[in-house]
Parts: sequence; C-alpha cells; structure tokens
Amino acid sequence: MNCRQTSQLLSEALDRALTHEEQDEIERHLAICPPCANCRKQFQELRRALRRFAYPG
Amino acid sequence: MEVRLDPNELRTEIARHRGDLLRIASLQLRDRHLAEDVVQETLLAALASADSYEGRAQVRTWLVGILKFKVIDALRSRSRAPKTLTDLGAEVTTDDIDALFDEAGAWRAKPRDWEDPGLGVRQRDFDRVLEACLKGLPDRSAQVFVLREIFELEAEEVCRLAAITRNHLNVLLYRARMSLRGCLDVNWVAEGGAAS
Repeated sequence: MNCRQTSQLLSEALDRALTHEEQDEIERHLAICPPCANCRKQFQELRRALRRFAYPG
Repeated sequence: MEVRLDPNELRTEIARHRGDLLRIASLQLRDRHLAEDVVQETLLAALASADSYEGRAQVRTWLVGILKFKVIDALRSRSRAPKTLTDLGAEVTTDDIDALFDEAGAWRAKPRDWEDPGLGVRQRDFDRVLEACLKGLPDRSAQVFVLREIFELEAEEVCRLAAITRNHLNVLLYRARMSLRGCLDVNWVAEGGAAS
C-alpha cells in the first residue's frame, strides 16, 4: 500500500468501519511512514475542529 | 449544566448567535441570500418554540440543531429547482489529488506534524485559518463536507440528499479533507502555528 492509497483509506475510516484487512494494511504502512501518520492526525484534528465550529465548548 | 433563561434573556441569546449561524449556513449553501433566509427561518422557529427550550443544551447547540433541519429543507426544495445538488455529478475529476503524489503514490509535499492547537489564541488562529480554507473549497465538495462534518449527518443521509453514490461521496470527502489539511499546512504552519 502506498501513501495515496493509505490517505484514501484514512479518509474513508472517518465515514465507515474499515475491514480488518484494510486496518492491518494501514497500520503496517503507518508504522514506517511518519508523513502518513501525520496525515491521520491531521484528519482527526480537522474533525475535532469542525465539530467545535458548530458546537464550541 | 442546565441553565434556565427567562424569555427575554433567551430572545437576546438567540439573536446573539445570528452571525455564527449565518457563517455555518453560508459555508454549506454557498449562497449568501439563501443562507440569510434559512437563518431567518431558524431564528423565527427558535423564537416560536422558545417556551419549549428546557436549557438541557447550550443555546447555540439548540440553534445549530434547528439550522441543520432548515438547511436540509432548503436543499430538498432546491433539488426540485433547475440548479440542484445533483449537479454534484460533474465534480469527479481527481487532478487535484493526482498533483499531490508522485507516480509511485508517495507524497510530493509531506504532511506536517501539527501540534495540538490547544486552547486560547492558537486555537483561534487555527479555527480562523480553517474557516478561510473552507471558503476556498470547490462548492460541491464543501456542500457535502459541511453536511457530514459540521451537521454530522450519516454518510448515507448525505448521499440521499445530494443524490450521489457512496463512492462519489468518498471522493468528495477525501478531496475536501486533503485540500483542507494542505491549506492548513501552508497557511497555519506558515503563521507559526505548528512545529515543522
């Protein structure tokens, strides 16, 4: 799995439950790819910030 | 914490949130006049039901909940007009995503390590840059993205409202997230908001 495929699945993981196989593939890739690990944290921070946008505090 | 407001306080509090509601509605509807109409309907609905407000939720949370349904009503109404959300079908190219990766699918510009924006000034900076980045999204991506991420509709519900397939929704949400993270990497980090 490359970075592009990983980032696509990281996005989909916010909208559906990934299969065990997909989850394993992601974790294997993230373990060796700090930029993709950053991408996951960024997606998560975006979600937190957007929820805060509508419902602060 | 449950906070009881007397009717006058509640009316004042409702009016105080008009600007925030208009920002949220404008981000989704991408039409200032329609957004103003929807917010006006939201405020009128809130005032009409003020007696039933029991203080269990913050006023803003209660108002955003009403706004969500008013926006959905507007989208359903607009979907019967010539310019519809089904026009989303046109936005399927992935040129913008292609540009982010090399032939092997590796990042051309690697995502940065954001520090937790945390509280206070830095969070406000983050949120301010995020809002500017949201305004820069293509209309169609922004419309479904706001439904999903700000109004927290389930993906299936967004698909129904937008009359698009699940695969198409995945593409639109993915490109929106990629666009926003890239925009923040450039603009927020450039302002000194995150570590290199």
